[in-house]
Amino acid sequence: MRAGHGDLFVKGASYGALTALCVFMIFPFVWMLVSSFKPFPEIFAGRTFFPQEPTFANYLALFERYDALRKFWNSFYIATTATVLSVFLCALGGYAFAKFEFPGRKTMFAVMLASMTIPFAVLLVPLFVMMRNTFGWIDTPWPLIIPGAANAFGIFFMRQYMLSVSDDMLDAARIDGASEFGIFLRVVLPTALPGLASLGIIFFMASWNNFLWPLTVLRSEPMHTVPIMLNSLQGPPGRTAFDLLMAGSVLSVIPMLVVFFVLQRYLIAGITAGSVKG
Amino acid sequence: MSQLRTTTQAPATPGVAGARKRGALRALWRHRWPLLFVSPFFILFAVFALYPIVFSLYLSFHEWRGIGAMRPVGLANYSRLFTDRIFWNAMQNALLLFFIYVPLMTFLAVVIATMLHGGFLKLQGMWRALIFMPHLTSMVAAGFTFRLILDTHSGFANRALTLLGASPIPWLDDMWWARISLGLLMIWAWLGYNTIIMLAGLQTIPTEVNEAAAVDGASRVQVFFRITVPLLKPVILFAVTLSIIGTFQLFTEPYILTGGGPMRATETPVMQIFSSTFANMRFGYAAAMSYVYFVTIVVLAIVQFRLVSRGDR
Amino acid sequence: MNKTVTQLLVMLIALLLVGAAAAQTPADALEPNPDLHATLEIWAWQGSGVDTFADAEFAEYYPNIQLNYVLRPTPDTYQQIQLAAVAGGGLPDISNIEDSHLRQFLELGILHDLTDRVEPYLPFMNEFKWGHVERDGRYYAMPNDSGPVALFYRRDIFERAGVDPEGIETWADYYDAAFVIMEETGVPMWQQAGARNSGRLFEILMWQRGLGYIDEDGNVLLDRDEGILEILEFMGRFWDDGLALDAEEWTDAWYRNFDEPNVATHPGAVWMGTFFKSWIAPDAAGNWGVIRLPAWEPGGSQASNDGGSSLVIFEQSTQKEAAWAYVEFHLGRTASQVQTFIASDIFPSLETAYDHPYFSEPDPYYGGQVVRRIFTDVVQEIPEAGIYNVDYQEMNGLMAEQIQRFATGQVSASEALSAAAREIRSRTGRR
Repeated sequence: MRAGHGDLFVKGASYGALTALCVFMIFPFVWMLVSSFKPFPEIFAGRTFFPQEPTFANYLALFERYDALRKFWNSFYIATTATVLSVFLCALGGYAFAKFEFPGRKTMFAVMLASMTIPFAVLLVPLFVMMRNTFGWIDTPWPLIIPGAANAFGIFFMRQYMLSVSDDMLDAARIDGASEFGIFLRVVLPTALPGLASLGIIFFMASWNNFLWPLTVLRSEPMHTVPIMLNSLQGPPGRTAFDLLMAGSVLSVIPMLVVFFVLQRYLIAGITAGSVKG
Repeated sequence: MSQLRTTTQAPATPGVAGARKRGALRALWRHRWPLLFVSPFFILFAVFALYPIVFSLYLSFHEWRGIGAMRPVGLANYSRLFTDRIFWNAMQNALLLFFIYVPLMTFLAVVIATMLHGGFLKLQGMWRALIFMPHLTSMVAAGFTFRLILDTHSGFANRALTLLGASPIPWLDDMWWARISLGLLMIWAWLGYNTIIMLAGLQTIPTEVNEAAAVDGASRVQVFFRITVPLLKPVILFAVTLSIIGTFQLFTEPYILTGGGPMRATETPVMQIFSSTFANMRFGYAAAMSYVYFVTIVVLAIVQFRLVSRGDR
Repeated sequence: MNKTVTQLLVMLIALLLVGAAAAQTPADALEPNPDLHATLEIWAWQGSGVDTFADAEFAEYYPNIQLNYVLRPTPDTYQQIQLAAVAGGGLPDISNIEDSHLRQFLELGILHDLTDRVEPYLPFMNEFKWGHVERDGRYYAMPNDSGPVALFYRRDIFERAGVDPEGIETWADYYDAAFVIMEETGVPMWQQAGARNSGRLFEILMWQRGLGYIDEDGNVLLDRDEGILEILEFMGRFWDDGLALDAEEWTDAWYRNFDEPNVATHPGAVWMGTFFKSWIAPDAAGNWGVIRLPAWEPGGSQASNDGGSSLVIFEQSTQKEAAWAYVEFHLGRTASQVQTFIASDIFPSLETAYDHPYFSEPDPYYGGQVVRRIFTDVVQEIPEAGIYNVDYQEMNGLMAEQIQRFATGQVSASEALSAAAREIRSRTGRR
């Protein structure tokens, strides 16, 4: 009984705390949204929270003057390709680290983990020179797809996930005479689908929001992605186009929200799968 | 136990060189599948990370403006770096920032994950989604939005404070407030992500443990501190390791929100490396800088990793 | 040596010509040339004004040269040039570069030597500009625009306070006027961010006295010149006495303070007037006035510079003839420069342009004052100063930080200067 009363109090406090926290989480989005409908002077005059003279002009300007549609397509195309490729390769690597013993496994795993700490800033210049002189990939999507295709974080994530894949199931498949790659494709991947989905969300998001590297390798304006377009809206001397920036920010978040809410079930499933399998 | 695990326990027996070579080849062949599976990572790593890193190391012993001949300078870049106040200030900022937001964020993540775990609260999915939402946002967009909200003169935060009768806060114009503001942005962006990690960790704790405790009459809060947190320790340490690396690699957030100011209070090591390379064109010096910085992170990560693996045993 | 003699001769002849009749630059006599075939790529930052160049006329003169502009935010433009230079490819034919960044690229050796081409223009451009684009007697760029600095002031506030702007001759007068204006109207004299100071005003004030981060020999000057200390202490008095309004440059609060108005004056370059007129305070027509900068001592220099840019042709360009045709047509031809100035207020470095009647017209935005004439006077008196040099980015960053510390009371003026000097020495290896 004592626990029950405590529960009631803790429950109430929990709802209160969560609500407060969510207000903090949501507020910048709301601000972004209402600002995106304000004419420029109103954003800074800030006399009212809601726009006094709501306008779509910011959005229209973004499409007419900055060809936003094209930038969105670039972002989408790059993020999708990069995500599919890297989720596949990371699952492959994660599976190997989780379910196989092989010489050098520990060392390789350590090297891989250590590689997570390599700051991108160290690689920026040599990578750029390489992209241009060795591969000729400047102004193409490849620098944003290939170098990060099998990354340490993804493999680590998938390894943790694959640890929970049942060994009996794998052994059964082996006894049936399936090849190792076949097992991976037909047994492991379907079982790991929720894990793939959650890693996919993370990768898609990272690619969609990537800033420094695309800024470096996507040089001509028609190749730009959304964050690069947003960045190009600022710059002294002059006036940072906060009105267009807010409209662009809203638009840049929407696809992410769609992806998240569509795949959220998989994300949750991915997280809970471990406990089901024991 | 999987068959594979047992088959690979066989130790390599010593023998003549040829036999050993054949043995090694045979071992390679026997393990071709896992080796093949991990090879994409190591091939890409060698080409797109190892080579640039080696190039950078070479660079760090030279003076180079990015073009023309490199002038070998021996250890001069490194010796100059050790007395470079600005570089160490940036390292210190990363450390300060880490302490400003990581403990609070990690604690919140554990608490929220516990709340959202196991049907304790209604509308779990909604809460989780709302808390995770900021992580979906481009940091360019979020940085600009926070800059507008926290603007000392016309930002919403100070307008609200003034309405409530409080005095306005120099969010981005004071060294400490600027660090706190950056910390706020980091918590906003990363709390959801950390909560998900903690939720995943909670799945590994058998529900019977909590139930048993509850039957013993322990309150929720007691269960949280005495059982949940200790059992989550490895996951927490893992999340903190990621946060260390993340904090030391910060770039976009301070670049957009504060530009590193005021008085370099929010300038991060990557910003220093970036500006040394691209604004000042001291490629050799920047390479030396990135090496010292790199080693520092590796040391921190190893310390963390040791703690994690100790927690595992 | 021989070169110098020729230069002097050319200058002398040019001066004689100037005395005789309305000056004519070589480009003023250009003939249409359809034989040049090229597609030129031109990089510039957004707001640089290249989009108001006389390209329609250029197309008539050079019908077979196509122009392809790439405009980026300011920092990106330079980053892209650096990356392309490092990668050894991908540079455009031409770029517009701010003088503050020019020296860096000049030292990289990626700029085409334009000495023979620009020599005829030496007498026609603001003299100080050539110092930015010259090395060892060779010239690597063609001056585009200059940033003559004067003092913008609000007529309405000065009237309310009963202060006569024409009576401000020295910075001491200016400081006294600041007190009166504060007393009478409650409005601070200038906007100077404390914790977010950019160092630009400090540079303007140094430039006015022919001082800078370094001296002619490249040695650090900051902690070795009483005049520099005087400048920083002077700025400090405004913070101490509450005569400075604290707002970061290029933010909306800063813009708004000019419009409201919450501030009485702005020591700034000519291009700031463009911003006032077009979007910072478009409704304030008649309320702004301009006087020359106060001097540091009676009869002292009243001219300074902030900003300015030049056009360069990259060594990599395979179309240098066509590229030069573009540069010469836009920067060396009086009519082109006048047209650009009328369209965008980008202030020409080409002095023949100043003879155009437009420069003598009263400007209704400044209450009918002949403001452009003030700037043409200023621009011809700008001293050379060790500000825009190969390490400018670094020096500006290090100094700005120390000014911020000084403004927020953490260090004294002399401590700030010696700290900045020490760090500049350690980073750039200068003495």
